[in-house]
Amino acid sequence: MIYNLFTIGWSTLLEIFSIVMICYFAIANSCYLIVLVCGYINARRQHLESRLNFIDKLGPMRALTPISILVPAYNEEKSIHASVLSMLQLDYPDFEVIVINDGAKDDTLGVLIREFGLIKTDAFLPQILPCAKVRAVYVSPSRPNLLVVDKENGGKADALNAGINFSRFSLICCVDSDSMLDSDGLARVALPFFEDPDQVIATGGTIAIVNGRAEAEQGGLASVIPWRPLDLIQAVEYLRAFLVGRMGWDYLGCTTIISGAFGVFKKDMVVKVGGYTKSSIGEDMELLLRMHAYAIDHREPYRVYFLPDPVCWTEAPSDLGTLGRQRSRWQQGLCDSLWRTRKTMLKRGSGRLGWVALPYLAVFEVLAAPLELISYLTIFAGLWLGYTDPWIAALFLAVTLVYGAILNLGAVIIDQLTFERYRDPLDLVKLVVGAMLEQLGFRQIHLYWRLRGIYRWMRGKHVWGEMRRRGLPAPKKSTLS
Amino acid sequence: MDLLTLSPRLLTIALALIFGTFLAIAFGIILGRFLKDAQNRFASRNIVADEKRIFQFIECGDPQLAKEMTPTVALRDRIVKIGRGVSGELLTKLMILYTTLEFTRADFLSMANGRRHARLLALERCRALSIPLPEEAWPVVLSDSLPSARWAAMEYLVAVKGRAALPWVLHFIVQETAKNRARKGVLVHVASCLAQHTPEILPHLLDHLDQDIHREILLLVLARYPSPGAERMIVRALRSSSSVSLLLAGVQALASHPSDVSLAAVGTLVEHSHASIRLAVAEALRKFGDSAAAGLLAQLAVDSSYQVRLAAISSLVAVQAEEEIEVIANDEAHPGHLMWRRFALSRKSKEAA
Repeated sequence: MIYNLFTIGWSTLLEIFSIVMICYFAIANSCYLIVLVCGYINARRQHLESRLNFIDKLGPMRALTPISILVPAYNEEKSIHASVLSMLQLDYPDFEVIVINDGAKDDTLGVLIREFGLIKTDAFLPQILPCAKVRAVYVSPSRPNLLVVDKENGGKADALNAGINFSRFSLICCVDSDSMLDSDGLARVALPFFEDPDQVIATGGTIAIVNGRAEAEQGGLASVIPWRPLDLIQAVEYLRAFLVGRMGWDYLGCTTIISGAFGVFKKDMVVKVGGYTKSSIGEDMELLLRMHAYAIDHREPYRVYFLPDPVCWTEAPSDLGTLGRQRSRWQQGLCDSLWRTRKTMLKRGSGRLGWVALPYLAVFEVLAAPLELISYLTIFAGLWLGYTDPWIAALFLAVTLVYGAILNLGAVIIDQLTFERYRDPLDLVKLVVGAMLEQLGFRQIHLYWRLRGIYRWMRGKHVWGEMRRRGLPAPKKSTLS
Repeated sequence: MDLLTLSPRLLTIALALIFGTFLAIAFGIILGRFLKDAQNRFASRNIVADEKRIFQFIECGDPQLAKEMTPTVALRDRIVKIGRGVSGELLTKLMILYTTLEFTRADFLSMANGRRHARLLALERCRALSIPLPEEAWPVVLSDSLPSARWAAMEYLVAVKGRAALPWVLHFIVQETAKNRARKGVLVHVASCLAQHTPEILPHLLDHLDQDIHREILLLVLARYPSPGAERMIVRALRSSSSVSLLLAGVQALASHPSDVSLAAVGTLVEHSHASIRLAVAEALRKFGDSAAAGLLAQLAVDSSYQVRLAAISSLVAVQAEEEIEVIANDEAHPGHLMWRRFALSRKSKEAA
């Protein structure tokens, strides 16, 4: 009898737990669905605004604020030349490019010196933000707006701080060294600072993956879906999370991250909050959250924009090892950033950021991974032992995998209704296939990577890992002699 | 079976159906893309010939050519695309062609009655071709709820009306700044469009504006479109307020009007308590290029702010103030010594190249 009571208790507990988890994931995905709907509304408006060709009229005026483009580089010998060359060819009235070689072990510095004819000059360290020792500073006689800073290794955050120290202008644009911008991308991402110079503190553009594209065309790259399953799945992910998802948060006024690959910031605001945090592994998100917190604490009106139109092309990891390291790092960065800015969460006066976005991230992004693992284990163990109703297990799979696929398809549909980033019908077929593939197999592997990231954060392990690259295609035509 | 037992089944089936619906929509979109591509190819079948006729029309203005064209969406978009790249008489001829083909009428109807998307695209097409709108249409397009549409409409008005747009621009600036979120940069841009037509009027307006934000906008415009003799009015505007953003705009405006009056006014700000003002002064002084400016720059070269020192030395190098540079070059203890060496090396390399 006791045994019967015991088994009845376990069965009920499992059922309750299963139902709670089903509700949790249903709510999580439904919240994300709301974000996607907001993303659609925002994308439609922004797409319409982009058709008004406002930016084309700015050319004669040349009133856009000068920008310092900061490019931290570590072991980027394969892509650094193409990347820096594309930046020097940007269509923008006044800017400088500061490449920070963060103690690379390969020939990154050598490539820069050879390709751009750099000359060494005195290394002086302006004391604005602390950073690792600067070994040398290089200038280019033929490209006066290029500066290369060679420093000891200190990490990406440290490299960006060094770049800020050397920057001359009031706006800084942080771009990854494995990225390329559309020729008018800088002008588009800087436009909000022109329109509203008093309140805008940060803007970010869309990240798209370039994998599979054989060559670049002048002016930018065209959207092409890569052939490899891993690249294909990432194309869908970037569309959902980097485009539509961020548009949704932007619509709600809760942009919590400006991607480190492509963001523009007001320099004095960055300096006020102490620059990038060296010990943080998610330095991009952590910086923006601190800027939010500063403005909230000081009751300063401010605005952060995410813009779908300016595109930064980057090389996504093409092997599981590199991708896994990246995703673990992102999860670790998320946990770290939320922990550091926990005081802003549910704080009076923090608005939708503190009462909606941050709690959402904590409850549905951080907790989701361990809860999903526990759910798989308990529900399917229960199914095997006969305690769990098969339909409960099916419903769990439906609210996780099927609902996830619905969100992916929703992002693809939203893109087609607005920006039409992918126009080739074959590419659309690939996206639809990728939207479903992402939930079968990849999601489960991703779960492991996320759990690893959380574990590392809890253990205080700060691991970047090696990022293997194939290199970017060089721009076809250069306007520089 | 009770509801509790049925619920998981029903919910699972419901989700599967929703997934099926989304999948069907996605494949519908793919099919639509195929059809749209085919439709575009069909609609563009005459575009090469039509484009030839467009250029012939631009050359000779023969109305018979317009009658031979088929007024399709592709043709309309092609005319607008060509119009964006031309100006003057060519643009006028395109406008005539566009109107002859009844596209102007269709766009006016869209702007009057269409849905937002169609309305704004029609506005953009007319703007690209600088087609004058009926007078009663301007208040309508200028009061659109979408800020970008209002700005585009204002720019359009200035392009069409030229000098006559002055009262519209002033009203627009006052109206937009009365809203909670005035986009200063946009207002500067719109006013700058006007300044291209009437640079001489704007300085006189400075004496008649009572709000700092309005004066600041005009000063920023004057910084980009100087008007001879505006220095005294700019200096008067600066003296009327201690607002940092107004002073910054004023320094930029004075830099665009280099004269003794301007230099004297800028010189009074060299020891301003706000570092951003001193930085603006350091950058502005390079436009003056005489010995008095060099003296002021030398003063800023020992400023407490790194950015100000950097800007001052950069300006000294730019104006080739040899005496002051020599002082910095020979004094290793000078705060700007190392900065000077960076600029000097770049200069030497440029000269060698």
